[in-house]
Amino acid sequence: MVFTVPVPQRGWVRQLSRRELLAAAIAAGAGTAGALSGCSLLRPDPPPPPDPLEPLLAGARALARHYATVTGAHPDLTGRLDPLARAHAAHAAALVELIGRPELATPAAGPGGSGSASSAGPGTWTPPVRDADAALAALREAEREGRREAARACLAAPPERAALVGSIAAARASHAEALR
Amino acid sequence: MTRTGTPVGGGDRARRGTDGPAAAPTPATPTPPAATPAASATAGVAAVRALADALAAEHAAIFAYGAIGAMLAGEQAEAAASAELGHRARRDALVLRLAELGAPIPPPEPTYLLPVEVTDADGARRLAVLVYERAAAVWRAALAVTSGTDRELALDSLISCAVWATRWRAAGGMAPTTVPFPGRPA
Repeated sequence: MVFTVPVPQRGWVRQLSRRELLAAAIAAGAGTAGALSGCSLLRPDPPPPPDPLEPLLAGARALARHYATVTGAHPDLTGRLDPLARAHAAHAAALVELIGRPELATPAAGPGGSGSASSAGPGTWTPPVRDADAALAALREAEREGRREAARACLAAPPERAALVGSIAAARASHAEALR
Repeated sequence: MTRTGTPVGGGDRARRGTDGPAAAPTPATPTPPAATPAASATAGVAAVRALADALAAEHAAIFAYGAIGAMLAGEQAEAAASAELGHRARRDALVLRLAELGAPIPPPEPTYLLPVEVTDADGARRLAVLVYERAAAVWRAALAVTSGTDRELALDSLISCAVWATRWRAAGGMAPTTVPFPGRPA
């Protein structure tokens, strides 16, 4: 079609084309900008990768729940076991602080660290609560496994994390000893 | 924790007279800074210092067990002997490691101030607990500045300190028998 129009009009047509192009470019630019700002405003940031210490944090909470389960069934053991359970809660709090992500202060799912005996996660650990000695032996084994996990984490940790994680490993080892 | 009067745990050791372990406490002189060792190819200056501090703590623990073991009988005396062997093994491992690193090897002091009077089994167990609290702090500090096998040694030692402290607290009827963060400064 452009080939059929006279030369003077061709200039006009071409000028119009530039305006259209410019307008289209502006519109496209605005659209792109709008899309970008919409992206950053509306779409949540991708979740950060899990911290290497999150399993240790979950383990501390699980150990605290195990104690709650046992003392729920054997209230007479509360005086002996409470300091150990409280240590696990303190470990969890210290790990949340060390990891530096406050949202981890609330467990994503399942019962909280201070959950009642009945809220200990079914399917995660079922202590033989009927017999006190067997319950203590099961706690001891859980502490030993927890100590091994914390020791591995300590040896793999960067310098600024090694001391706290090492203390947690040592505490778990001392708990196993206290349960003898 | 045991900031004052625990020279036997390593750290603020001080010489005292030749009278018994329960000598009147004299102000413990702060540990002179260890001679700064040359940087090693396989361990940093901080790691070498931490290992030297740990060796000083192990020397002190071995000394303390001389007083502790003398006051205990039966199973507890056997436990003390076994614990002392552990300290000697760690001392030897540290001496070897520091030699390997070409670092100065702190010798044991001729004698140490004991933070508590050890005139009976109770005092012996209290001293043992103090030794482990102090040694745990030294080994914990080593964790942050070591890596590899040095950190493994520090971790094993920290764990051992925590377990032995718990054993002696339990043996002495102290409660609770555990602390939440072994070796952490109070």
